[in-house]
Amino acid sequence: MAERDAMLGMLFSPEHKGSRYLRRLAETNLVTGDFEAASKYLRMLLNSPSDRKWAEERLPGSWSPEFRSFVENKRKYLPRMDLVHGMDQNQLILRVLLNSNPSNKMALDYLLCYDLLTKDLDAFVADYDPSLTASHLYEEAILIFLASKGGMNQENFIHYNISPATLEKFNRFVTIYKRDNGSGRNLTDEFGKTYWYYFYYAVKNEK
Amino acid sequence: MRNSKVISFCVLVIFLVTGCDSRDLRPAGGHTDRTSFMFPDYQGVTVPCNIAPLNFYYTDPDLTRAVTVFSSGGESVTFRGREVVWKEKVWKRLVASASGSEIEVVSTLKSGTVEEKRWKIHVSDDPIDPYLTYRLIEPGFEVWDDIEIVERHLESFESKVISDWRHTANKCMNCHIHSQARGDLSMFYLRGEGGGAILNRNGTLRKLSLRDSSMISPTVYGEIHPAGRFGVFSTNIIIPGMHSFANRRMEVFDTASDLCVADFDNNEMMSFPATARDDVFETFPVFSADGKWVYYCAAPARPVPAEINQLMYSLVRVPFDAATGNLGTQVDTVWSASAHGLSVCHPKASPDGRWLLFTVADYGTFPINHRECDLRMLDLKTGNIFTLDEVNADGSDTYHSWSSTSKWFVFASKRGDGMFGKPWFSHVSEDGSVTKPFLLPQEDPHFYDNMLRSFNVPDLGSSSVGFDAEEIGRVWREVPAEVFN
Repeated sequence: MAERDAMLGMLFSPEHKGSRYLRRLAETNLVTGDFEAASKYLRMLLNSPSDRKWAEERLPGSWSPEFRSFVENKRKYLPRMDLVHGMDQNQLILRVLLNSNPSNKMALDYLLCYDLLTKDLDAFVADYDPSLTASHLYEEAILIFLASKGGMNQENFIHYNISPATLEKFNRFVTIYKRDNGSGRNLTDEFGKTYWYYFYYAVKNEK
Repeated sequence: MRNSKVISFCVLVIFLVTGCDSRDLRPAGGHTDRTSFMFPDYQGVTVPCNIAPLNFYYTDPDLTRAVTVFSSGGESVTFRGREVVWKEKVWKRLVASASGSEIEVVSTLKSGTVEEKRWKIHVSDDPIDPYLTYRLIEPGFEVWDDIEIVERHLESFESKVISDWRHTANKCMNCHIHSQARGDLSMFYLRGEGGGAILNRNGTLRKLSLRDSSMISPTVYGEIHPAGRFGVFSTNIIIPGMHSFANRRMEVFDTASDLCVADFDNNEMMSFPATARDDVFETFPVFSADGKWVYYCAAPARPVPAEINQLMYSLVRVPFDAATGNLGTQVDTVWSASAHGLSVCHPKASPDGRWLLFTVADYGTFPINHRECDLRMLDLKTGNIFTLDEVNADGSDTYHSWSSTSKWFVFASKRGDGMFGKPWFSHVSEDGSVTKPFLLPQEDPHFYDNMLRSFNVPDLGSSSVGFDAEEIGRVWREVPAEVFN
């Protein structure tokens, strides 16, 4: 996907080239071990004065311990299973990354945020492991889920690391929400940046 | 003063040796896209007697001296320097003297030690069709920008753009194909608003809307019948997908596909039950050389992409009636996917009726990102299959077409960098033996180093198509698409 996105970036750049894209293409192929493809991009970069040093440091055989470590670290995140997915199957793509490397926190956070953006709380709860990542947004989402499923109890609050402050804020949100019959007119200032506000009031822009 | 003269002399020597090229050629050698000591690697290739000069350069970044001597028929030409760039007249003279034999080459290269390499260029007295059309497109994935279709003159370095984004408001266009290498019978698609199939027949350009209400999509792959009245096409619901595994890149598959026939004289589309089955994917139809058969690829329908790696297409054929445009009902299997454990794509019949060239891949219907994908050649007289080991490489080898004489074919291969398709040519003898392919020569031997677009669907033509991008722009803007029913 990184190679695809770099290629698309280059495709839509004014001259259909640019060192930023070539660097990303070279580095992506170095990480995946495709030295044949990487060598084409590195040679082009070597012939650009502003990219020469960067490319020299990445020539196979010239890697510093730091760059080698960088590549090896990136390789830990490569998918280890192959499946064909659509361009827009974001959840599937992120799950493949997590399947190959469960400690890929960035993939996990993207997946959880995708679930939250699509308001798919069942998927969110299935994907969420509070021992691996944390965010006030995740706490807020869990509270909506627990409230809707009748799970507002101490055991769940402990399991999902719900802080007393978040719980108290949620109760205040619910009180105002009910008092105003869900109109939301008194929620924006205090709760405008919470997941609760997004969940109840954000409307998908179809344009 | 004396020192400055010495320095000037040294600079002059370096200038003469290197040809003043300060280009950095690293990396070269194993596990790079420059594994040979020269690029393009023309060692041992067979070229037609009418090909443009084979310009190349030596890839060793540490080279300090290079002398190259070409000899044939008592003539000899010497080059000094890393780049070997011919004057066209000198090349033509040498190739003419070597036609039907070979050019002997001695490369004396100094890089620390001096090494002498002796190699040959075989010159066939079978000329190649002088024109090649191809689409230039970034190997981007599901989108495009600034596409061009180019016609290159193979006897020189001249080329002209025959359709492009500038004249068509950046519309997508699909590759140009000749019927049996005829410049006066060819077609390609302009997609999107104002588009259609552009049919070039006997010097007239028409824009056609090749779709009727029963078809699952507009026409996609196909070919024009040698007599020019009909075309056979597939209609495909095409879905682009991505492999999650590194370097497998893009996978494109059909969720449905059928065949149909277009009658260009009566603006009629025809489909037939035997080749429009829901339980079979039918695609890549082409005519036999005599126009009496349609060869195509067929696979039992499967849920995709879930079962994409079990989707294997066989090569089959069905009779074609050139008087009515009807496809027959009896479908014969020519090459069974299940028997071979491979999937067939892109069959192409040689105009003399002797050969059928096709691609095999592990699975699927989109071989250009399948490294394992190779060419095969079927002898239609004996049924023998040639594996073309001299031609295939570790890189997608596909999108082939024949010369009008059936003595040469061209194909796109991603060998080398694995990413960018380039046109390669090979000679076919009467007994089916093929020669080591050569890469399309360019005036600048470093041309491919800086090329970030693929040569897509290279297609040979015995004459120029006779139109250019400006004329296509006019057709796109002013000519309404003819309706087919």
